[in-house]
Amino acid sequence: MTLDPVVGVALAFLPIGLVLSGLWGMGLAFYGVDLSAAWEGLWFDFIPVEGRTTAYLAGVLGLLHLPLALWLAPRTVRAHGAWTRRLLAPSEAARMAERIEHLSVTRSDAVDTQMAEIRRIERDLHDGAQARLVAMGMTLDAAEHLLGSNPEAVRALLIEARESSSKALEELRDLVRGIHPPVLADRGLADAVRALALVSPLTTDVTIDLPGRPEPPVESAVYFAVSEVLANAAKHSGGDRVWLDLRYGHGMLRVGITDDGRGGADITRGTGLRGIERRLATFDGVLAVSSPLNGPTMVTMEIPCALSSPKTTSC
Amino acid sequence: MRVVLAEDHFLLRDGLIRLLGAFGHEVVAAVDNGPDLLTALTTHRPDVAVVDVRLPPTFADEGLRAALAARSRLPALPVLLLSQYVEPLYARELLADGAGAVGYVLKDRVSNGAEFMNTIRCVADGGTVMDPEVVTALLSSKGRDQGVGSLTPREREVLAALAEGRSNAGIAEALFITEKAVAKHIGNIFPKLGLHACDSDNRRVLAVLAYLER
Repeated sequence: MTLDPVVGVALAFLPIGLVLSGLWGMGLAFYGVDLSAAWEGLWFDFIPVEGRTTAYLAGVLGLLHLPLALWLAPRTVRAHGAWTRRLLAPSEAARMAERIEHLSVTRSDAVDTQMAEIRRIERDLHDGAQARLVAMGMTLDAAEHLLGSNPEAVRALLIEARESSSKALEELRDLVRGIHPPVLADRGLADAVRALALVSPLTTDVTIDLPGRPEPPVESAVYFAVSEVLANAAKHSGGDRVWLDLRYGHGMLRVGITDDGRGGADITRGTGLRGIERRLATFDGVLAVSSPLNGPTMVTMEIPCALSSPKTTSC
Repeated sequence: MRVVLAEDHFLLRDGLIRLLGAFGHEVVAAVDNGPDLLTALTTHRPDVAVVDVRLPPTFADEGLRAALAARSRLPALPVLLLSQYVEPLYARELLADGAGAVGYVLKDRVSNGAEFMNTIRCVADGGTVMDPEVVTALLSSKGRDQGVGSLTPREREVLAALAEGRSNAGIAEALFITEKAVAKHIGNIFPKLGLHACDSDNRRVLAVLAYLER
């Protein structure tokens, strides 16, 4: 630390010193011979100034100092920057420790989220489709017993069984939509986001610039994040218009969602935005919310990821 | 009618062939993947095609793509798409050419044979049939629309039935009202949405769906 002013001064003075010494050298071309005689010998850099020739040589060398100083100046500034960063930034070890901390937090979040998901699926199947199928089996069994004696009752039971089967299908569809929406699987993130906009109760302007497809886990996380934010906007913002911008550049997927509602959204309140933040953090993604009172609310997400080239189909 | 069928699941394909046969229709080709479907559609030029959206080889929306490709070569080729899920985005793509003769319904609807045959007949005749789930999704997306907001609950029901592609008689039957009442409701709905009265049932459906997708 005590070295800092010394290094700073040295680095700052180096180009100025070069300019000054260059000017001195050029001066020597004119007064070098006299000065050398007066001071009983004189050196400029590595040139002993003894006569006219060496005095001119000193002048030429001095002239060369000027472009050297120009060349050096930006580099010393950069070197000073690097030096300061070295002093101020955390050490490599500290950075690694921070990274490991972040990774273990996001990993345990990811595992928790996954476990909760699995539990939800299990519960939904148990209370939904499974229960309906059991009921359907019982209805069909009752129908079988009544077949000989009461055909009218059998007809009613069969209708009931068919209704049970369509209810079970409906519940399975909803469940699958919540796990991995078919349109996301079929078409990828861009069309899936367009599909979300299409059924949003708010008028949604969508701009998408996505030249390929991110990895499926990233697609899924971003899809559900967008879905949640749009649902929030419809439920809480009180606005009637949403602008959604999805683009990719410099290894980063960016989503901006802005509504014209009353604002006042707070990431620390409500579990929705928190959940999104945690889900994105698994991919080193971040979520920022700007929501002043009276609006507008602006939600921005950034996820570093790579894109695969656009899929080409055979037909 | 001559039908081309595309369904990769063996049990369902078999069941559909039997069902269509029972109602006196001839399945001229039954295929199980997208590329074969496109060939079958262009060579057989069926009266109607019954197509599963998700087909090999990609198991994505291969059936939809093949159907759209076939319709770009044979405009207004009647196609009824079946799917485990209905997606309003796909409905929009099917409707985009404005030619009609399309249907998009959940596979569940197959379990009601008579109703399913009505759907096929309607599409083959150039009509447009949308699954109630598509219509519900589109209607709920219009929650703050002034036009839809100004409708009475009954008029909303009529609008939904209209969007599904039902005729006046069909709407009357579904809502247990008279055809005259249906005509009166429709006469109220169209001005409220700023739509012009249409001369044919199909144009009417397309106008309503276009409004809902706006």
